[in-house]
Amino acid sequence: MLTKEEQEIYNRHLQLDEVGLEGQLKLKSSKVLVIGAGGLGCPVLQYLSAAGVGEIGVVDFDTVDKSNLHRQILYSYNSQGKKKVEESKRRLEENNPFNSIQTYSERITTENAMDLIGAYDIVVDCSDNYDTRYLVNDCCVTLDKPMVYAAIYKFEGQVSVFNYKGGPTYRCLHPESPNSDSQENCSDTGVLGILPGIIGSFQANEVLKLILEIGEPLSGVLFQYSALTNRLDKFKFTRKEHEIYDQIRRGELNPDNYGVSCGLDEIQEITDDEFREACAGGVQLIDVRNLDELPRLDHLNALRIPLLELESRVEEIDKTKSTVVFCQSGKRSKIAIQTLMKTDRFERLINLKNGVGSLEFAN
Amino acid sequence: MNVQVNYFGKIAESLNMSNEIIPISDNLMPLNLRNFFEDRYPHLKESSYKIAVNQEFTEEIKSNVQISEIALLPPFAGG
Repeated sequence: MLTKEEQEIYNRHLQLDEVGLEGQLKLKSSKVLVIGAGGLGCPVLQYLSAAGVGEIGVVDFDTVDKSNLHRQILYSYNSQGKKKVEESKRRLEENNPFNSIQTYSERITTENAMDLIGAYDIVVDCSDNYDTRYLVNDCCVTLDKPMVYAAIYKFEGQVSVFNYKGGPTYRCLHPESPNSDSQENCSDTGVLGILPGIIGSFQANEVLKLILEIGEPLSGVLFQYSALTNRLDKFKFTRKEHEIYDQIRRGELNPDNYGVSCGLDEIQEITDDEFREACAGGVQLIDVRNLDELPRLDHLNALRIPLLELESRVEEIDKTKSTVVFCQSGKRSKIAIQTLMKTDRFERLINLKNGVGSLEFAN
Repeated sequence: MNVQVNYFGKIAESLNMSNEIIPISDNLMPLNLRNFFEDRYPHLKESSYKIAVNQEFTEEIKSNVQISEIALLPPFAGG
């Protein structure tokens, strides 16, 4: 049922044969998870909310930075320093108080991805790095949720719908994450401010089409747009299975497959020998593995803070000491260092490059 | 035949052009396109990209196919 006021708000939808009351009720009863409240996430959230999607989840661990304002149009000058999910919720509820916005001020990881994605009907990937995209894709495939994907680079953007009714997935386009050479994204690449507005609007349009079951979704099609030339391309591709889907279906969602995020290249790293010296020299050690991971390495007397708990337990860390962070392979510890660098100033944070998995000292 | 090749994103930047016409001789068929482009532009070996022929992703041109265009498309991550 729609209230009288909702009928007024959605009047122009109700007038469309393709939407109508039935379609509007489909929108109202749908649950959509938006991952990333940045350049793409802002227009997606605004249009989904305005269109009357009943429940919208928004995941983002970040706060609003001055350099976000030229493209992330949900945020105002006064939003700086505030959590993106909270600012989004406030602004969206001002625009449309008739739907529910759930906020998750956290990074999506192998620990929480299945639960988050499992609670929604459709997932919108507005993230800004390959690791999140692969994680979201892999969880969507194994939980059988459609994923509406978009990504941008400078003046160009692309959109596709993955895993829709058994259709192709992200790994059918790019089976593995690109090498580090291709990883420049996020904060260090320029982007025309309006580009994510254009591409995010295409993305929101795909979401509405899936909910309303109208038109031709971009399933098996990579839509590509150039803002400089207005060139549009639609590339076709087909479904190919990938072994990682079977691994995850067996319950093996391995954090090390999604470890390396963008902008992590400048982090100082040490190898095994230097690590041994550092331990002898009395540095502070932080083990960000889960508590059940082996080897336990109790003799190192490391502070044991699993990556997921890091932000809430940052006070336990002595910020004045040189600190080596480690995990099994060196990837999660890099993310941990990036997280720590965002929360506070630390004297020195060093990553154990290949983790303790390859370490030759169980002594 | 002369084929229009379109380059996108970082591939276009590294080549300093967004398209060109390349002659592809019929006697090269069937042609492995990745090898063909990486022979022509060796730095592409370091890059990730998809190849599309007539707007369909593929790695190879078989003989007797009329080609209207080829595209080299790197992955994007930004959001």
